[in-house]
Amino acid sequence: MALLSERDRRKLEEIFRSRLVNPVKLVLFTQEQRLVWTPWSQPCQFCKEAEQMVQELAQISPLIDAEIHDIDRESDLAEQYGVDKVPALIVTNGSGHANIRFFGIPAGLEFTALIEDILTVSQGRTNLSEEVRAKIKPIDKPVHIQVFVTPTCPYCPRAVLTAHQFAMENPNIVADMVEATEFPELAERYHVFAVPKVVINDVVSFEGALPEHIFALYVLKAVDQLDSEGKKEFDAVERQLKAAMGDEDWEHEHHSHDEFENEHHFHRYEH
Amino acid sequence: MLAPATLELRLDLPEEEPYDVIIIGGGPAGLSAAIYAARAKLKTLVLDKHPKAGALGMTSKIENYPGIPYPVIGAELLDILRKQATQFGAEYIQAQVTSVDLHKDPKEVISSAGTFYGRTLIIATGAMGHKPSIPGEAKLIGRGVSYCAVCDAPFFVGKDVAVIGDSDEALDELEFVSRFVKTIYLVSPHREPKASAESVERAKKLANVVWLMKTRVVAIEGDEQVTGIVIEREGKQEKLPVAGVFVYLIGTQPVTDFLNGQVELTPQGCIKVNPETKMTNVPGVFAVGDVTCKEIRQAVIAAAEGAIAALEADKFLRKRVKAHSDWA
Repeated sequence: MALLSERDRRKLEEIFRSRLVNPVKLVLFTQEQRLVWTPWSQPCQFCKEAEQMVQELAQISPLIDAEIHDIDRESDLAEQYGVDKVPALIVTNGSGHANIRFFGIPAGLEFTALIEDILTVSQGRTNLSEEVRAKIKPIDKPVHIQVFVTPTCPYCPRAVLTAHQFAMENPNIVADMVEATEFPELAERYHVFAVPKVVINDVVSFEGALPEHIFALYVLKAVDQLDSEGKKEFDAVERQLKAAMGDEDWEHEHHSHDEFENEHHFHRYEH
Repeated sequence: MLAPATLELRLDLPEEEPYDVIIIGGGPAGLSAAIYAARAKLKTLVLDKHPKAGALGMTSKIENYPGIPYPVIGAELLDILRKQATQFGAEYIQAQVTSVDLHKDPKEVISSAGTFYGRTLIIATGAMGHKPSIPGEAKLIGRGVSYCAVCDAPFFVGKDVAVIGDSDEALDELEFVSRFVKTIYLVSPHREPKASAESVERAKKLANVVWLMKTRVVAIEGDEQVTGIVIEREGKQEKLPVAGVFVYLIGTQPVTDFLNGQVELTPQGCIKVNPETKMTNVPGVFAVGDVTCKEIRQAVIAAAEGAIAALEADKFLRKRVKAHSDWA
């Protein structure tokens, strides 16, 4: 049975026809089912489905090419792509850059992120603002962005897309979507209990889909490339986020006050 | 383990043509803005987190709204306003907005129903926001404390969790959470849930929910991650081990967290606006109703402000078109 509904397939046909410009390659790494699994190598949860999804997409447009590899049999190639877990999907224009990656199946709401990535890569231009582009372009150190998601998280695709667009703008940036429920050990290592969670170079992290100019500040922070203006901006953002997360004086306030005052409002409406 | 439904492929690409006006909030201010904007033939979208949320949505009876000469339930008055707005062509989507990007043009709005782009924004989110106030809550955000069940429930497969709050919004999320977890403790300070009868009836059908009524959460415990909550019932405190806590409490804070500091606020945390035009410090972004902190919080005043903002947004868009054509 097809993964794509007939309705979505037709919709994609139209979108790809009108919006794809250059060819896009979907490089997928999967793993064959084995008979015996050890605790340190668990079966790939959605490799089969990921392969089917990529094939179905390639069938829709002649500009989309699918390339399927096996992480065990083609371990050298996997290493070349920096692929250490499966399924792994790389969206590329064939220029040699392989820094837009999905680990775990981009299903659920992440499917939209994959489609948007395909369109952006094909068109060869991101929709980042000039201001953000100017921040991201000069980064000259390696950056690894991991965006942890769940397939049902409505705010996650935007965080993934922002990270992927940074990677498109700058080859020093490698940006990954990581589907947290498929890689529980990784989620545990980075204390992921709320998504989207963004981890940059293992040194800086934040939660939530932040606007791209704030996301960019975190990237610059991770590689220590904030200028004095950027530092000021970053500090202001941190202060605001902390304030929004709650006062330090929460002990003086009990949440029952909330409910009480709330009732008070009702009465004010009911004259 | 994932719930099977998550393998569904969901295609929600943002619309290519941006909206003229995106209104965040579906209370009297937001819906009146929608009526005026849509009637002025502007492409209008209302994003509302829940039709029964907010000060008016939760009001049991209102008798002094002009033009309605009989007592009406708050949610019913909103139904009328919503109908009026959609009849003029406004789109209404139930969705919670978590983030906006006002540096972009058109402005970007990230919501639980996808991403939307608008040339102008009208913020009408009200003042019933909850600020982390339970001891331990702020510290454990992202470590088991969550405000987004659809995002984070998959982390608690087979575990016990608590849902704090009994509004329609809270109960609507229960069903999703129940698919993943072992037991849900629903904690409410009231004798009966405040949510509408339909929501309560649906929630009562879920087998793995334990209803803890007339109960308060006095603390959320844990260091690296949530290990439990302390509840208080009939004067007695009790510890309840849980791995996750979904908080759906109602408070008295202006709802501005999704703005991430991009709009100027007063020291009290209210959105600062030009009193004449309702425009914030960001051109093309307006704010109306309780989120701007009113001396008098009345539905009719919020509604009037919504109308002002819509007309000002229209003026703003025309000026921009004129500026563009003058330049060309």
